[in-house]
Amino acid sequence: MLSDEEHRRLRRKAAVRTNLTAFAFLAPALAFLLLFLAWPVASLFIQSFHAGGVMSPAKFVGLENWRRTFLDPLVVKSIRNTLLYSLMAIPTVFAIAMALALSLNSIKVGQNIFRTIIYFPTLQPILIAALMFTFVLHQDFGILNIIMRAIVGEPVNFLGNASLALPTIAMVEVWKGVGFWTLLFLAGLQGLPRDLYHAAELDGAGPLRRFFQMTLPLLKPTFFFSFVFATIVNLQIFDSVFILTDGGPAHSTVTTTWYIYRSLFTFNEPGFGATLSFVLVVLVLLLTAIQTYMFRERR
Amino acid sequence: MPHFRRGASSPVESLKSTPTMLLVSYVLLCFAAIVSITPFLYILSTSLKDTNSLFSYPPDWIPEQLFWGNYAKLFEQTSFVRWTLNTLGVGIAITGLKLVMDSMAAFALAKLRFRGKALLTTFLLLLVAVPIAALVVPLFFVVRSMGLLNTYWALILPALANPLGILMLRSFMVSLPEDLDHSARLDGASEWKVLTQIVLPLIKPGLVVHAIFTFMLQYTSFLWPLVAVQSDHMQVLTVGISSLKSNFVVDWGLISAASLLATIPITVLFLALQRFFLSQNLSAALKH
Amino acid sequence: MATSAISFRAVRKSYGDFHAVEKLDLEVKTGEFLVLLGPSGCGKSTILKMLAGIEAPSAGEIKVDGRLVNYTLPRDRNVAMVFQNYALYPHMTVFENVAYPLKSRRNSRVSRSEVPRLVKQAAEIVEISDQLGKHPEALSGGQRQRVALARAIVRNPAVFLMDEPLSNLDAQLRNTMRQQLIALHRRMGKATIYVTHDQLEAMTMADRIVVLNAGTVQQEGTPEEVFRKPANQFVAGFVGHPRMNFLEARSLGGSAVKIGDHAMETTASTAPPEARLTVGLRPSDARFHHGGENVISGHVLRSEFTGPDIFLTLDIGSGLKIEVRQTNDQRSSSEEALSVAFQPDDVHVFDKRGNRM
Repeated sequence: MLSDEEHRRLRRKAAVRTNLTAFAFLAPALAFLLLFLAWPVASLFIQSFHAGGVMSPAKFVGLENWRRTFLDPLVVKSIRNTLLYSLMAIPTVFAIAMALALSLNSIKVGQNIFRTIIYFPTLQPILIAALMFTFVLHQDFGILNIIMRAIVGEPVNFLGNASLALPTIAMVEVWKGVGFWTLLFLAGLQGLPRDLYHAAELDGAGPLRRFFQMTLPLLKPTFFFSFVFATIVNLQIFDSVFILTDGGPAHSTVTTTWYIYRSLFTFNEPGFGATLSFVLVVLVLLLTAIQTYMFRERR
Repeated sequence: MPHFRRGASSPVESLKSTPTMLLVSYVLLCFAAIVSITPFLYILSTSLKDTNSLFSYPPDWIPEQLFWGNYAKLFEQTSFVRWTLNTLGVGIAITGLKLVMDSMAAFALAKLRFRGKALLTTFLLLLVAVPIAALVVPLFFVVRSMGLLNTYWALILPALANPLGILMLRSFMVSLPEDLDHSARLDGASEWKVLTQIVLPLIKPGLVVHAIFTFMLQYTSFLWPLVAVQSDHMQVLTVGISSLKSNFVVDWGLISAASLLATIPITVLFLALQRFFLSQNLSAALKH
Repeated sequence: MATSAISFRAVRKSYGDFHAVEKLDLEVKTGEFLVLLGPSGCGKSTILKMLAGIEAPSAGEIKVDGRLVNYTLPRDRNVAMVFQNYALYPHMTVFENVAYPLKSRRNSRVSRSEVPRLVKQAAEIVEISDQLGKHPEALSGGQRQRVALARAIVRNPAVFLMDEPLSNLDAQLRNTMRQQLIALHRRMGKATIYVTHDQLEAMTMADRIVVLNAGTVQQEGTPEEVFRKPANQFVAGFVGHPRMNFLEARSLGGSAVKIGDHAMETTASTAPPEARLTVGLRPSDARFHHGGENVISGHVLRSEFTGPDIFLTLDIGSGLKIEVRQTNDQRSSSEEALSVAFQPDDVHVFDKRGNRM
């Protein structure tokens, strides 16, 4: 037998070899994750204490950026708009997607063709979707306004009205996102145990009761993913705002990401942009954590 | 509430829908289909009109005389073709590089043992929740300090940093029976061969899903390319097309033609690989 | 003394507080067919996995051909394994599956041109020569089993490991495969460790059986030793079908015991009088129409006809019951009262802790 000392040495050697092998496989992906994802998050924090940097060298300004962030009414408005938009868009897209998924699940003929058509908008970049909606919403020749003219007699200025602009953007995002969620929910529905439904049907449970007492609770894992993912994506809303309103009218559609972009490219204040970005990261992580906690609790 | 596992033996016969439910379903679906498809048809129609007839009311859906001027202008006076090639090239580069790197990382997470594995997996899940849009400012400086601003590398490299692809491939690999890779190791395969000769051939559908997901993400991205690249001839499609709108006088015909053409590549991809475009693969990736 | 093909010295495996295998000492000689027998979770598969390099031992030394392999990669251990689910590579043909161990090695001793010959040779031995072009999914369970065997033998390893290889086959196929596996083993002449929970497989195939329970070796010996002289109550109950009867008894001093009202002579070592004991009697050891010594009498509670045998449950008084086997030719008229005799050799005595006396 080898001595304990010798065994320890060999064991360590073997452990190093195993760990090195795994590390070799992880290294390329990790390098990029660290350089282009983890480091930028960390440097947000550092940058939030600096000013300049685009044209001139960065200099330390202490809490100046943070002071401005908390005093700037547009920051508050941008966060408020972002949250408001998410509160409009996410429940709406989920409700519609669920209705469509249930419909798709209950039909046999034509399921494939409907699925393909409903998924179609989801394929397009949101930017293209937004551009297309400039045609749909245009006061003079927009198809929606042609319909409006036929119904109420006059066109509606969807994007030029401060109280309509944000809901309109939400509508565009819902139009583009509904196919994705429909197929996700449909897959969830089709994965549910059939036996249970037959049993419930025999017990005389009506479709409504079946939906609320069985379908919804059973789809919980799907909903967990959906809420988390939708929150992360929607709080970053930028493309459609950039194309449709560029923050207007009267700042009614200024979102956090839009303000971050402008602070870098229009206002030339990357330190301030970094501070706002940091706030957004914290906001998203916080909401994700709360959702995870809520879904875990009752599982 | 009791747990119900999938795959419990069940009669194939599905629940019968009542006639009312069927009717409601079809009405809803038809409405959704019309709403989904109308904007596409409308810009198709717009793109084939000259600007004057655009404003006629009521509009004619099918222009009496097809006007091809918008398309001609798009190809002759803008870099549309170049933008398309840029998007495809950058997208393919990212997809290829990510397939290799993510397979390797997912393999380590799914099939190898090492210290800190649980911690690393949690770290990746945490990174999923980071809003990428919030990183444009620091990313701009990172890429600039590497001297890569306004190069294709600026578009490619940051896009490689996305943990979702790793987690997605990991979930595919975890579902392979363990004995297969154990057997291969006993048969003399190195870990690299276990990955390339055993694991990867067995998760081909997962690789296709990953590739589509990665390519789509690149194809639809806008904010970062807008920040990273300034030269017109290096732009990707989304940024290029959006630049058409920022002209002083908006050329609606041109934009409609560009928007419509931009939908074609992804549509072709979708029709060819439809069964892989399933969003539940994404949700499976985040399950432990 | 020649070194053993496989040797375990003081090997332990624990996962946190759970001890999967406790201090295992085991030697397997070249040409020996050793069966690890035990219920699921007894540690037998863990032993196999440690030998294959899938799991690392927590302490102790494992050697193959005298070489320490604790820290050796699976591919450098010269060990081949047949998995319970065969672990055939689904994307490769049978030929490619069998050829894989030859091709995947970096410094293969086998030259490329020899591969087809070796594959064909292995395929012939396990009789799958006509299946080489197919994919595993096109094969039956028995054929898949043979492919897994061919893949194991093709590279001529020092040691074969088999993890419940027959458990997924139907009963009839299992019988044939048992015999063929033994024939194959004799032909190869290598050390084989075979893991199973099926005592019939263990009895029919093993040169030596190691009975395991809860991570510890209960008994090690030839099938006959394990059957005739079970080391403890666990082994006695696990090996042999139908299961041994266990009856509470008292010592009468010397080697005599009393079961209820029945005094029995045994060959056990002496125990102090009145000591509480457990006596084990195999249903198949019961002798009928003997009278005289070592007789237990009772009346028939239930009888089950199984074809060649009849199983009788007897009430032998004092609230005790035993099951005995009667062959058809021993069959007496359907008597109510019955006496059965057991040879002193066949009366197994266990102390309070369940160990054989």
